[in-house]
Amino acid sequence: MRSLAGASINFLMFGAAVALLWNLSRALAWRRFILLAASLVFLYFCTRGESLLPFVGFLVLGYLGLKIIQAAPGRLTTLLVSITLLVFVWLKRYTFLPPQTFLRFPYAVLGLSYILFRVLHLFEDTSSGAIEEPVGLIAFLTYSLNFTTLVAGPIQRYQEFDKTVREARRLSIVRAGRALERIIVGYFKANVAALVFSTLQAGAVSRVLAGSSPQTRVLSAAVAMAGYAFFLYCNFSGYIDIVVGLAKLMDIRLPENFDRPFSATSFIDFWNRWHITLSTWLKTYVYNPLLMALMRRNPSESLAPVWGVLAFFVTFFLVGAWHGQTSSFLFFGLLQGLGVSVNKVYEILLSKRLGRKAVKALYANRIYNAIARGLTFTWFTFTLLWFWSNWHQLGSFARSIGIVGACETIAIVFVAATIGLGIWETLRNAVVSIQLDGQSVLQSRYTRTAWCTALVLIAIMSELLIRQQAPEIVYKAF
Amino acid sequence: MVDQLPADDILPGRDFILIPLIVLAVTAAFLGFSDIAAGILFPERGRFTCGMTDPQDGAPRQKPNCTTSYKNPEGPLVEYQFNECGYRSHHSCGPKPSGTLRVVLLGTSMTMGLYVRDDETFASRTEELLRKKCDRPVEIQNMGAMMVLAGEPKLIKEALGLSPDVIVLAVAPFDIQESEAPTKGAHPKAKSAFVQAKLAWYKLKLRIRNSRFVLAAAHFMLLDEQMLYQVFLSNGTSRDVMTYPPTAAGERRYAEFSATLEQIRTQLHGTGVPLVVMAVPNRIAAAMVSNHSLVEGIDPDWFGRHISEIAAENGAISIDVTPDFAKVAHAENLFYPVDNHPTGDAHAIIAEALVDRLTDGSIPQMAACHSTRP
Repeated sequence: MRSLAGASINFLMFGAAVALLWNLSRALAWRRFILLAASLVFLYFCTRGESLLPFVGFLVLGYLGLKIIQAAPGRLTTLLVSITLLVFVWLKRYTFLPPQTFLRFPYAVLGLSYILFRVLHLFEDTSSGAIEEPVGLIAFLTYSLNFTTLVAGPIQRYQEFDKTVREARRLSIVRAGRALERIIVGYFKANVAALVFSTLQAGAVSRVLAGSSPQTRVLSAAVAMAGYAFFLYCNFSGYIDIVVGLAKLMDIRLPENFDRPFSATSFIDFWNRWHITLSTWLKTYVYNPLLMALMRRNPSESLAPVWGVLAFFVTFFLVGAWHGQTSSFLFFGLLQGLGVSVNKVYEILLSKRLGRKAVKALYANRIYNAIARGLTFTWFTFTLLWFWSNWHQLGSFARSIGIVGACETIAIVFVAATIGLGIWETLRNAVVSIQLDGQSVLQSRYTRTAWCTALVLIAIMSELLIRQQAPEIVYKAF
Repeated sequence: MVDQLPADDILPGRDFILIPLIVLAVTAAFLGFSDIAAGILFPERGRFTCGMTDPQDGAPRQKPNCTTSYKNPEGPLVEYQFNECGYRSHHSCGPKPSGTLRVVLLGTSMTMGLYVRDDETFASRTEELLRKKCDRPVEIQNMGAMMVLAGEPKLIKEALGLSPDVIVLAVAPFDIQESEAPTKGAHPKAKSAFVQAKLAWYKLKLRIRNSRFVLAAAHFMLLDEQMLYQVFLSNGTSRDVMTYPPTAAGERRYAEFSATLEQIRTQLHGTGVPLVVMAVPNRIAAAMVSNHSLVEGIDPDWFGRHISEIAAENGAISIDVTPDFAKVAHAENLFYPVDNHPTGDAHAIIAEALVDRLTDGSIPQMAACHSTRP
């Protein structure tokens, strides 16, 4: 049976049952009770066989820290943030900590990273006064353990969560339909498209290592690189679509986490479109304070761009490093930081050299955009090598294709992405521009109904014919 | 107080009709296209036109001197040639040539070699193998027909007319069936509108079930070993005869087979023609023995074992081919997934097992043939 903590039918049925109970009454107390009870049941079923004690301990630490900050805002915030971070890396068994200090029994860490983001956000916003009302235990638990966002986000601010729960309306057939559409699209992405890309990628990886000819190995390496990027997108954004859809059934508005990331024409733009809530969180709580601190220390205007680039590097290094506990993920973080900071430097230099007007014209050029899109995609797929692989495997790939082969692989990905994504963008824009009664045909309820029906039929057929389960949600592990 | 929904939250009345219609239209179009695609992937060509009903006993037979080509959706295009007696045999069914060893095969569609090319049937392969092992010319008369096993005793007289040295009866789990009890109250005139509607619905369901799309879906689905077991356990027609400990329904089926065999024995009594009963596994049993899979309540060896016991009780020689499929990896691939008939490769295994048994020295009529096995 597929786990509840995934894009499974079980999860959909669970979410639908919770939404049904939620909609039985509009009383806030009832809805909070249903959401908290559902989240606890969800947590129980997802962590069966694992001890919940450390998990509960982490929540207690978070709640006590919040109460201390509420009592004395600002004083102990830094210390509490540090302690919480330390406990988190210890519970997540980061490899830079001595292994003998780790707990030796199996315990639940499901969604711990996302709980960390919520707890730190509560600390900071309570300390700064952005959260004015004291957060009680029930509200804290409902927010931290919300079953729709526990496993893989999106990371929602407490103020927005509280507002959406308070203001949740009676479910209308139109909104139910919209929610259902979102769930269908998500289910298709996470279970059908992701399975196709993962199968394609797995086959390509084996051919990289055992391909008969150098050309086969190089081509397979390109397919493996690009295939994983598409797989990860379908896997993660599909799950997010499902949870956004399930939350919509309760009229809970969750923030969007993706905005067509492969349409991004720069790496900075990419991170504005991929895992949006994570990069927004880090921009709010790392980039902005860090930049301000650096500017305060050296307020020279000529140094401002340097601090901007440095703050970007640190922020996106953390974005990458957050993903895992090994040196591969640290390197993945370094490459993210490098990508955005080089991108920032390029933007600054380009602006200085060409002037704003010329830069604007350049950014509007379709060929420039296609190349920039291809480059962004290629860099992302390259950095992902340290995400889905490890040093040992990478060594095997390098030995199999050689340095020239590696360069050819990257060139193939770049050319294919430039052409392929360029064509995709052109086609998409053409289709979106078809209007009927002042509305894009794609947005018409009838088109959406037809599209979703087709997706359901393909999903059923795939379930019947392929009989293979799609991989688990990758971000569940983080 | 019930709050009012905003205007964009209200579904226009026409959409309550249009949206279900769109869903239906897309589903119908999708299934239609899928059926066309499945038809291209799994084409069916020609028709099996050699079938006929025996005017004397009403049993299904093949037309004499008939040739036909038919491709079943899962198998290759096969040309079927039947001799002047309606047997799928290269040889005339006339008087046995002097000195020739004649083996007569009895059985159902599997024995006839349905969906298997002429030179790949176990009948042809057995003849080929025996020729290499015997000092006398060998001839196989394949009387296998698309019939039920209970009709076999009616063919014994005809089989004996061929002056056989040995008669082989091949049996698969699907053949061990229970006679259908006459349906009570079925009266063609009593067709109310409700009954007619039910009949129309049944026909529609049958049409969908027999559609190429469903066949393609089932084909892919049944390639999966676990799925094969699941489907078999839920509605397998041969489940009763493979269930161990035996069920009452299974016992009834075997009792009917025993009765059929007894009728055959009675007719063969005093003729000196030995009867060989060969148990051939179905796809599920082959998969289980080949992959060492366990399915609760199902014993893949039970069918072969019990058929051998019943054969021995009726004085017949028995062969159980099931263990021979254990020697092949993924033996389920030697059967058509939906149709379940054995492919040419499975026929090769059956032929080898049959020849080994016929030439092991225990059948005096086959003394002219020598076993090459130690």
